[in-house]
Amino acid sequence: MTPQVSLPGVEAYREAFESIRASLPGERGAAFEAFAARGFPTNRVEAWKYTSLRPLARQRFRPAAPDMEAAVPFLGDGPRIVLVNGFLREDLTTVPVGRWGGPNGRAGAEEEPLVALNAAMAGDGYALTIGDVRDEPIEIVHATVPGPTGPVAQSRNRITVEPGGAAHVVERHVGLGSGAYFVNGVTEIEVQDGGRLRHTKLQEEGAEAHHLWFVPARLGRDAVLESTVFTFGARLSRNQIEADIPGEGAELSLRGAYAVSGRQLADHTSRIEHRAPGATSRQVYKGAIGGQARGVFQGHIIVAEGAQKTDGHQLNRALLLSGRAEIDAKPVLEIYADDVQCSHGATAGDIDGDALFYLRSRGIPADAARGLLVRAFLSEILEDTPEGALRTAVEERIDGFLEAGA
Amino acid sequence: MSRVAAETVEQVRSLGDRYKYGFVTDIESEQAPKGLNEDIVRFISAIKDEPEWLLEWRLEAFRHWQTMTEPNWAKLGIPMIDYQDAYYYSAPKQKEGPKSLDEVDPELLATYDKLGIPLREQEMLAGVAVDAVFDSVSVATTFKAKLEEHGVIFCPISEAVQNHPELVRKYLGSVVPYTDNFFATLNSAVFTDGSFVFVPKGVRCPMELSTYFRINAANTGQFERTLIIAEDSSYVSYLEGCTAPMRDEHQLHAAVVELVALDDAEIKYSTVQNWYPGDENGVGGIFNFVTKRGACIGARSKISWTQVETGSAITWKYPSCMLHGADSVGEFYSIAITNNYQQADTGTKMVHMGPRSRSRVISKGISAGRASNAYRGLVKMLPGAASARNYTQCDSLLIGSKCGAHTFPYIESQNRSARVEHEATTSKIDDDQLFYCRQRGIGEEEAVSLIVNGFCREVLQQLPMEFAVEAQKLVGISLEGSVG
Repeated sequence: MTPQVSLPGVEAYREAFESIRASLPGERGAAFEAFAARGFPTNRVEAWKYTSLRPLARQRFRPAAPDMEAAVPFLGDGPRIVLVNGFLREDLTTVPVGRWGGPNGRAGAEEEPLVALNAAMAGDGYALTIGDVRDEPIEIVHATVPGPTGPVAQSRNRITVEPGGAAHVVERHVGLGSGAYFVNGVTEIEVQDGGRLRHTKLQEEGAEAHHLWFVPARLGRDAVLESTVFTFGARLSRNQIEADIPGEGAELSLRGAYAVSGRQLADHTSRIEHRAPGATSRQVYKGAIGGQARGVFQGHIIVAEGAQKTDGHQLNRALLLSGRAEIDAKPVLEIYADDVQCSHGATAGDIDGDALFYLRSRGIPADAARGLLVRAFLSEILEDTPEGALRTAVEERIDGFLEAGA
Repeated sequence: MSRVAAETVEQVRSLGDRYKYGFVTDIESEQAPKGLNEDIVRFISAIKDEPEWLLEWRLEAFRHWQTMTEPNWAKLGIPMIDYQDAYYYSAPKQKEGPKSLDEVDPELLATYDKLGIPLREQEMLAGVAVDAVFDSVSVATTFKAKLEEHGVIFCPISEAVQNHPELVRKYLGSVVPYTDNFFATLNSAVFTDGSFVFVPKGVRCPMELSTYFRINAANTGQFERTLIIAEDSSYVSYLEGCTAPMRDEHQLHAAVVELVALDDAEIKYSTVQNWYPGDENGVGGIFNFVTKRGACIGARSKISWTQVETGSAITWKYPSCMLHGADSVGEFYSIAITNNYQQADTGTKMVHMGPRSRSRVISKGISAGRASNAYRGLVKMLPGAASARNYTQCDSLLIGSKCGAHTFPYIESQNRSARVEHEATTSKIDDDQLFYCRQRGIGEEEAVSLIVNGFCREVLQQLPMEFAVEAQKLVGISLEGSVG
């Protein structure tokens, strides 16, 4: 039933896959066929209604090779994990980590063609296990070197927080230089019973990059996961979180802020499945969209039969800052239990005229007033980020967005 | 709540016998052979003595329909429908058309009595003109004279084809083209009857217009086509109410309703749908696949949909507004109640094209038993919709732990000055409210009815008087035995 994109895209990848297959750990044939059967999704596939990957299917990308030379910028001097082109740079990594050793059957590869492609072609990735309480944030840098062949960097990573473990992990995505590349990554997150994880993602890919990242998360009993994503870069990006909550009393918070302009497309897709009673989920996504850019938000809360006392809320707000900006939102609730409190809200529109008038009437120039209001709008997502390099980096990005006259 | 649940099971069981409109009138029907092909389409067109262009239109629709597949995106489990295993035309047998109500088949009139709408009584007391559709052919129309005085045309669409072909030709398919969707295309090919309303410039229709739809002969899908045109600065309120007799076999209903509002015109369209929902085990019941769409063509025009959906085994229905005109207004007020094994996937589309167009969507879904109730809606702001405004609120109420309530809103904005606000909540009946009522000696059932009526109040208020009373009762009846 699933409509397919022109097979040439798939065939080009088959060629690339065959060329590196022998060098990959684990058996990959089934994963590749799962991708080939579906191809790149277009907007005829409901889950990709607003983000068609047709342009990606047409482009020729080559699997990125490890780069052991490239210099990588860091946010801070704390513990870090570094990957370049999807391969771990042990020389720059200061945290003891394991490595991904091939497909292990998780992450729903059958459903999502891009995840299947990742399962077929990923050559490396970190595996971080946290069993104790880490005070210092762990910085993880995913850097990609653009090139004339349009490299595809695919890594598969895993964060496991064991009972009693707690940490703050910052995943940062950057391009080293200008040019096109394609990043198709996966970070699996498992927070076991009573574990706590703060996960912050800062996406600062290059202007011509395509960035698709899939985060399957699983929360055990009384586990806490707070995930925040800041999206600024890439021509086309999609951050997709699928949280499975089989643990009673788990708490999940998903937050996102994005500022895009030009012809960027920023897609934030989440799916939360409450399968146990008494769990809580909170989602807040806010975006400022300028130029001819598009914002996409798809949120899906499922409350399974028996997941009573679920408390699930979702909010999506978008500011349209130019006449040709666009927002598409689809906040879905799918509920099979009666004793629940679930809601979603969505708004879209320009900056509030009254607020603008208030500032203007106090002598603040229009541009400055708009900037102030956009900052205030996005700052809600930033408020629990402590002072430091991460916060500064995000603020600088927002400033840059405003200065460019979005 | 477990004690209540036990009571519920009992009451739900007994509710199966209580569907008070479950009876079959024995009237000989004139039927076309079973099945669907070009000959049947020609037969329907010929029996209606239709002009050539309409036959051509039907045939084009039929040919297009053959290339289409049934939509499967809705959150519905639809059993396979064999479109060749149904009758596409049946008419109550009558020697000649009735001149007055006295000539109408007494058995037919008795049926209406059971339904609670004695025509004459309504004519005298309620001030409502009733164009009763019985098995696809209108058999009685009242108040015609009074409407004619004002220049309002209110007649079966087949009559309009004969008497006002220029109007029908101009507007038929102008809002819902024959290529629109599987069910609308099927309807375009085989529609047998429905109502036609034309309100001329500057006229405020002197009464509420009402049609009673009813499915009677076994295995007859009904394919009504309703067309309402409100010219500049006119106003009309149209009421549609539905009941159907009990059947074991699934029955298909694929209606199309088109509304056209020109400058400053207002159309208010209200529906109470209470078709047979199937028994408590999910056997039988009507399949209701309806395409309803209004075009606010003119500046400052307004179309308002109000619906109370309590019946049908499956409801697939999205009354929509195309807001072309500057300052045009679209409204959608809906209550959808599903119980036992009923399934509903209903909502609206508000497509804003005109500057300063406004829309308001209030949807209340109540799901009980093992039912599935989904709201599906689209709010779209096109680049031309400067300073347009939308407010959407979807609330779902769950009664029982085996039912489902879903919300699928699509929000698309391509205009910075347009404002879209959407809110949705899902919860169960508040224990505190229930306790408060119980504490004051109100029975569980009554308390639930009270709370649910309060939950639906915003929508019930939108109904015309004639319907409001019936609808309130319906809300109570539909939920009887579903507390828990």
